[in-house]
Amino acid sequence: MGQTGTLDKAATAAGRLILEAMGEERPARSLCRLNDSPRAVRLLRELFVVAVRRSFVGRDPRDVTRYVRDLLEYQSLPAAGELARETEAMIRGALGEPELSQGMPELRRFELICHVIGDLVRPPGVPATELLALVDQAEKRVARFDRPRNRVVGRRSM
Amino acid sequence: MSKNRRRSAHRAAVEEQAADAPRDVAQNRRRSAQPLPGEELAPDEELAADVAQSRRRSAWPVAGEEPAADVAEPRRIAANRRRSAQAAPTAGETAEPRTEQLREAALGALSGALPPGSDRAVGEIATDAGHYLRQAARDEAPARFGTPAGDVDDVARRVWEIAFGLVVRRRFEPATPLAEISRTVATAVHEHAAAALPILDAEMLVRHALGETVPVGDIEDGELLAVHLLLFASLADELALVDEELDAIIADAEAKAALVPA
Repeated sequence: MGQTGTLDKAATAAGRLILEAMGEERPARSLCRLNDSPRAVRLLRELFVVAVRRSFVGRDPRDVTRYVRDLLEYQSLPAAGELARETEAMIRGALGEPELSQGMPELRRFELICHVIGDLVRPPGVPATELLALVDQAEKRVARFDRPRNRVVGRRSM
Repeated sequence: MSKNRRRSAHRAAVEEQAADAPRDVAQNRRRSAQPLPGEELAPDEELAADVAQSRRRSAWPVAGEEPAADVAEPRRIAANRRRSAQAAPTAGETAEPRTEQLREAALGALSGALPPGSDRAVGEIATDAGHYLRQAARDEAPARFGTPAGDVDDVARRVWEIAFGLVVRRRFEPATPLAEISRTVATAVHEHAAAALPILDAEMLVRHALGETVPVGDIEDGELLAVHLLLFASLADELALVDEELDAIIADAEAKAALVPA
């Protein structure tokens, strides 16, 4: 299913790239190809946090386990082993248990993020306006963390 | 003579020796006492090389070892010392079951099977695996990282897995909030920080023991053992089990493990 109607609504080039990738036939794979764009990777991470929190906060945490099983089975990936645990660790990390995903390689994190975000457009998929709202919120988070006063790396003491 | 002068004199002597001998031969001899292809060692030299090699690599004594056997089969014994806790059976060893038992005991092999000639009593721990689990629960086990040093047989693994399940179900109801399980598991993992247990894997094993459908595939054997032993210890501590209760759980696990077909 296509999400191309929202392409001109994203504020940043990275947002437009992500929306375009999600409109393709295999959204997870298309999103993974964005790994050479640091801004797109950054935005994807924030989009993952926003999407996971809006989906799971306030629900039974066991729903995460059930969702991960469903996601991996839909994508014909092994759903009873390490991959499932890693995916659950990433999701619960975004929900406030970051120690669960400590030590996981960056590349694997990125791949899992792409799978979860790509799943947003699995039929019937979230409405286009909601998807746009998620990207918009993620862009705002990136902008907020990029403000000079919020930068941690490179901040001077004076 | 000062220490520095002694060292330089020693180095000069070594360099002189190395210059006399061909370089490659000198290197090979230093690293290994194995003869080079085409090079024959005298019988005395060969025996000395074998013994030196086995002494260099491991200082483990082999129970029941006799000097005569050493002279007869130096290579075999050296290989046994070097490689693993499993001793290769030979005709001489089958003739001496006592020697074999001593060797296994020395190498730390743990079994969950009832020792021959002993009976199972209600509420009493009867197997090596059970005793080891009790030591782990009382923080007296020799291995602090969870996994015992030697071999562990399948029955022992089964005993520990069943005991872990029993204590988990004693601590948690099946519908216990996940936050409570996570908190207990996190505490246990931090208590045994040296073992570096993965938190989520441990939590999945606890939920699996409670009957949930969770991903517990691909967990390595060593990790599985460590989680079973160390979380058992932490849960027993959290439940403040007295010695009799702890023994009863372990004895129950032994009895249940004995009923499972191999």
